[in-house]
Amino acid sequence: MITPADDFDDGPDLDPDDPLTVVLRPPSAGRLAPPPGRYEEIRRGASRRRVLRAAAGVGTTCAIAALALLLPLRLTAEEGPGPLTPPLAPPPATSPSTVPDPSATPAPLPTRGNGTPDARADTDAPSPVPGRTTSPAPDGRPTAAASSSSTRTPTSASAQERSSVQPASRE
Amino acid sequence: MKRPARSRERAASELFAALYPRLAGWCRRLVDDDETAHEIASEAFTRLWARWTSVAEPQGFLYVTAANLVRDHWRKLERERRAVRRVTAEAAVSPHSEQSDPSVRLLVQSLPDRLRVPILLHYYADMPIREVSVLTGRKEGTVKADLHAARELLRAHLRRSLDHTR
Repeated sequence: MITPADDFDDGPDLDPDDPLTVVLRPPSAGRLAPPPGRYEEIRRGASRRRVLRAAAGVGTTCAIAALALLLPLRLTAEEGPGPLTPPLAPPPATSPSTVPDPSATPAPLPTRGNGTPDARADTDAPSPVPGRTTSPAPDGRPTAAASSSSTRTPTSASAQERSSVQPASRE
Repeated sequence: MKRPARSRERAASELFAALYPRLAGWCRRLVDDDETAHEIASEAFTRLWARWTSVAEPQGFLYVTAANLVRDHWRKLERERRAVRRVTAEAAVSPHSEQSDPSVRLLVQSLPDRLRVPILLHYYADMPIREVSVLTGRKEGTVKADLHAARELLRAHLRRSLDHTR
């Protein structure tokens, strides 16, 4: 059963013999007069608290505004170029690298027309001579070609001698 | 420009003159100490005037604030008592002297917030049920039911404490 709200009226609950009446008696029986100067003291304290609260509000607003301004700036700064890194050193010249040596590219390749292998082919194939590199000689000819011609010279001279001798033997 | 401030000052002064003695007297029944009663009543007024413009019903605000401050005071006392008991190992610590009016203490201590606020506003702040319902945001029927439940709870507590004393 639901009790109607009107049944909760004060009338029957507070009869004078009820000990509850003592609990709920109006406080007019015991009054306590304020000490002198208490009113001004309370007013001063309240105004001080109001000022503090206003200052805290202004400070919070300023902090939020500063955050709203600085945060986008910071984010855009982070999206820019990253920190500078030192450049990598070039690879050593003796290593068998597929990348052409920058010092070889600007140099002319005059021996291509003579049938001698150019610098690019030399780097691809393993060279039998340890000191043979792609750097051209000062006169424009590869050193390998020069060395091969120099090695070939005695054999051709002996052949010439042989040919000069041969008619004599025929005779 | 000066007139609203002056009228506000006069209203504050009138409110203080009308309510402070009653509020301080009510606090004194709860804490049994004039100085603490004055402190609690003053703090309630300070809190009221710190937000003077935003409080619609100053009388109810004062009583509810004072009741909360009294409860905090009791909790602090209880903590201190427990600490003293721990330090002295319960030696020669006399039991805490009860307040002069323990039934009023019962009112604030035993009731939950939901029931205590309507009782304070209705019986101590002299507010009619209609105003209590506006202030608490509850329907008038709900306020009546809360008052009824609070009275029943208090009556049961009183009966129990009377049985103990016999």
